[in-house]
Formats: sequence, structure tokens, C-alpha cells
Amino acid sequence: MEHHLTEKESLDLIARTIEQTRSRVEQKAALPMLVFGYVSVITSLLIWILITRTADYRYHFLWCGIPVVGWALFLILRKGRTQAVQMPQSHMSRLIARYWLLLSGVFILLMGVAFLQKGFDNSFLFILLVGLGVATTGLIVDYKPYVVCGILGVVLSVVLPWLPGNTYLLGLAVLFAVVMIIPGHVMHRALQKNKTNHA
Amino acid sequence: MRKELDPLLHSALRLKIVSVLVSLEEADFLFLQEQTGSTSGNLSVQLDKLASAGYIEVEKTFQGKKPRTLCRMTSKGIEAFRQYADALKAYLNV
Repeated sequence: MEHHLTEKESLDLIARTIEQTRSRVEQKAALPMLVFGYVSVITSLLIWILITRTADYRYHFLWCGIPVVGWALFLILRKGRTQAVQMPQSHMSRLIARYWLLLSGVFILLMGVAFLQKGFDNSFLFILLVGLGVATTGLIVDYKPYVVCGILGVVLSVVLPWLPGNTYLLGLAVLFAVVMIIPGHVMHRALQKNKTNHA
Repeated sequence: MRKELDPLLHSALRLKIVSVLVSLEEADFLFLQEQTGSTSGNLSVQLDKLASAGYIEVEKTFQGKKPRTLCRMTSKGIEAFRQYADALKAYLNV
């Protein structure tokens, strides 16, 4: 027996279902932000410690470890969370993934320029790009903490070149936390709360 | 004169299915079952009806050794959903 709806019920059902689907799909969105955020902060601190103690600037090569360690950790953690139901991809998440791929390309290009052109300090560009990515993601999915933290990262990134000596590495660690870890935890907490409310 | 509501979409389960699919590129059978809270038998019947009308595409694949049913909206389905939503808004004056 089919349940036919009134016009009001139909419109409510459409709005409710689209919102629930969106919320369900977004549950996976906080994980990459947290994983890459923590890996970036730890890498910044590690490079700061090593360079301060040894004055060997070849430790900057450790930046290349961020995508390697980040992806490895992300895949391990995601595998641990594998559920019976496979999460689908929304049109929005596909768009965001492509945008981050584009930003990653620019990131790699800048790293290449920094290695070829000695003395080109591009550290602030790391945060500028990540902040831009987080803010744009927030604007696309209409999520305020991402927009606020992303813009904060973009604005504060220009302070880094003025920091004395190697302290810009500590500045990088702080800004990675502001741009990625804080909004990642805010979203994770909101999703957990939402999950409890729907249970 | 008011436009008739599409009878194929004007049923609770089929409308739920289409509302889930319209915001996704594709979704598998288990995800649809979880989101709509329906039984597998009822969901299969409604998916067949939507596929027969050309509103959705159903693709049967394998993931490893497990069979997997993937569903996605067609352009005809998206247009029908848009017209249905417009008609609802006109009825309710919103």
C-alpha cells in the first residue's frame, strides 16, 4: 500500500531528506582536515627543532613528507572506520576534491620554485594556499567555522615573513592549527552531536 | 489552472529515494535503504518503477565478490523532480 502525501508533507519530506543526506555524507569531511592538520603541525615543529639544533637547512626536505604521511594515515584511519554502507559522493564533494587537487598542484609548483631559486621564502604561501582552500570549502558547503578560520589563516599568513630567525616555523605550526585543526574539531564535534540527536 | 502533481513522485518512498539521489552523484542500494528506512523488497519495487519511467538508472556491479546495486538520477528524472517541486511551491504559494 502506497502512502500518498499532502503537498505540505511532500515539501517537508524533500527538505528533510536532502538535509539528512547532506549531513550523512559530510560525516567523512572532518577526518582529512584533522589528519593533515596534525601532520603539518608536527612536521613544522620537528623541522624547527632540527634546524635550531643543527642549523642544517636540508631538513626542509621533510615538508615533502606531509602528503606521504598524511595520505598513509588518512587511508589507515578511513579503513578502520569502514562501514557496511558505502558513503556516496555528492556533486559538492567532487567539486571540493577537484579544487584541493588544483591547490596541491600549485603547492608542489611552489615547492619546486623554492628548491630551484635559493632564498625564495615561500613558507607564508603554504598557509595562504591552505587558508584559501579551507575558506573556499566553507563557502561552498556554507559552513562558517571553515570560512572564518580559512580567512584568518590567509590574513595572518602575511605576518610570517616578518618573524625573526626560525620562529616563522613556530608561526607555521600555530597557523596550521588555526586553519585546519580547530575547524576540523568543530565540525567533528558538530557531526557527533548531530549523530546523537538522530539516534 | 494548477499543474497536476507527478503521480510517480507523489508517494512517500519514491519521493524520499529521488530526494536522496538528487543531491548525490550516485548511491548504492544499502545507502538508500538506510536513508529511506525501507525494507529491501519495497525499495526494489520502487526503484524498478522509477527506472521504468526513466527517472533513474540502475547499474548492477560487483565490489570484490559482493554484488552492488548503484542508482543515479537521469536528466529526465532531475527535470521531473524540478517540475514536481515547482508545482508543490505553486500549490502552497511559497
